[in-house]
Amino acid sequence: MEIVRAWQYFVFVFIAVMGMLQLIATCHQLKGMLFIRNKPITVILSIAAIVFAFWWFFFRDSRIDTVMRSTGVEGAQQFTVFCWTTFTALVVTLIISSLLHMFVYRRREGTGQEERLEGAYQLRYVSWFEALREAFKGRNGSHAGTRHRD
Amino acid sequence: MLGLVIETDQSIVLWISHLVGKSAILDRIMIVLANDYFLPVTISLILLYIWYMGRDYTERQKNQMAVVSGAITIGIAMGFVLVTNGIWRHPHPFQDMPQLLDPVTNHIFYPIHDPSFPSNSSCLTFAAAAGVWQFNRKWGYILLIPAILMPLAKVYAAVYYPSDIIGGVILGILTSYFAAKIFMPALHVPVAIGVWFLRTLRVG
Repeated sequence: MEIVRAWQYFVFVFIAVMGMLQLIATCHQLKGMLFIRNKPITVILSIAAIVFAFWWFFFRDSRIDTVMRSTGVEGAQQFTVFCWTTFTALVVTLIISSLLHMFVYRRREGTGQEERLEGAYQLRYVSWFEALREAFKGRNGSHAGTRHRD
Repeated sequence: MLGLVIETDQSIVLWISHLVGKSAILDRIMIVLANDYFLPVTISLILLYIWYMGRDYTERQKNQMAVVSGAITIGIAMGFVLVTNGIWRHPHPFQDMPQLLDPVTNHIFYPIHDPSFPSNSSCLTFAAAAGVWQFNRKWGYILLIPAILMPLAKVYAAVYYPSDIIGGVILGILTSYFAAKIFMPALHVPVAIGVWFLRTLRVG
């Protein structure tokens, strides 16, 4: 009898998390995490990715009525796969967006106002690679990610 | 007392199970809601959204603590469920009432093997909602929606008794209180280091 495989769960979570991360990035203006810098297009594509992931996993070939009628990926395994997949999707998103930032969207943007930015919110103005470089160079110090009017 | 609870549980499950097969739409909705993956992944995606949410630094910090609290609560609550299951193996409704197995349980879900009390799905979903609620009331209430729907669908499928669900809910809520008021303050330093590490890597 066919059951849900861990790799299928991985693909489902990976696509859904990538979609969700793009939705988060566009809603919170984390430009350093975006693939496409057009809000309506990103919103549509990210929702489409999430919907597609759910459709593919649950409804393709009526899987919810067939394959999912037995234990496939059990609780603890589900948790482990989910965590690793989310981590992978996050790293892949940050790498792709940083590469796009380096080679496509080259302009470094200012905030327009003084603002304290820490952690992921530094991605509003710089790519992940740039944010990491600044973090490990120790340039931020107590002014982590602070940007002034350009 | 226990006899009365079992009798009440069985009559509620029998009454609800009469609804199965009456409406194809309702059955379809319950199949999706009872699924092992649908609501857990939905809740996790909501937690991911909350992690990045916030207008300013203070609000973000509060939201991130809400997610940490939800995750820690789920972990501890699942441990408590395992311990309880090891002590008491309570049968499922479809085991006590085999006439429900084919027309109800197999129609909506499938017969699971782990003990019925406390319901691990209600414990998990309520642990997530109550854990988040300790730091962010609004999102805690929002997460109550999937937290209520999943156990409801499991009762509809005759997989759990209402008392199993109530047991899971109480366990999830008490664990969230324990995690937020005792566990997290006691482990304040490792939690703060973890959040600082994620923030340094620019993912938190």
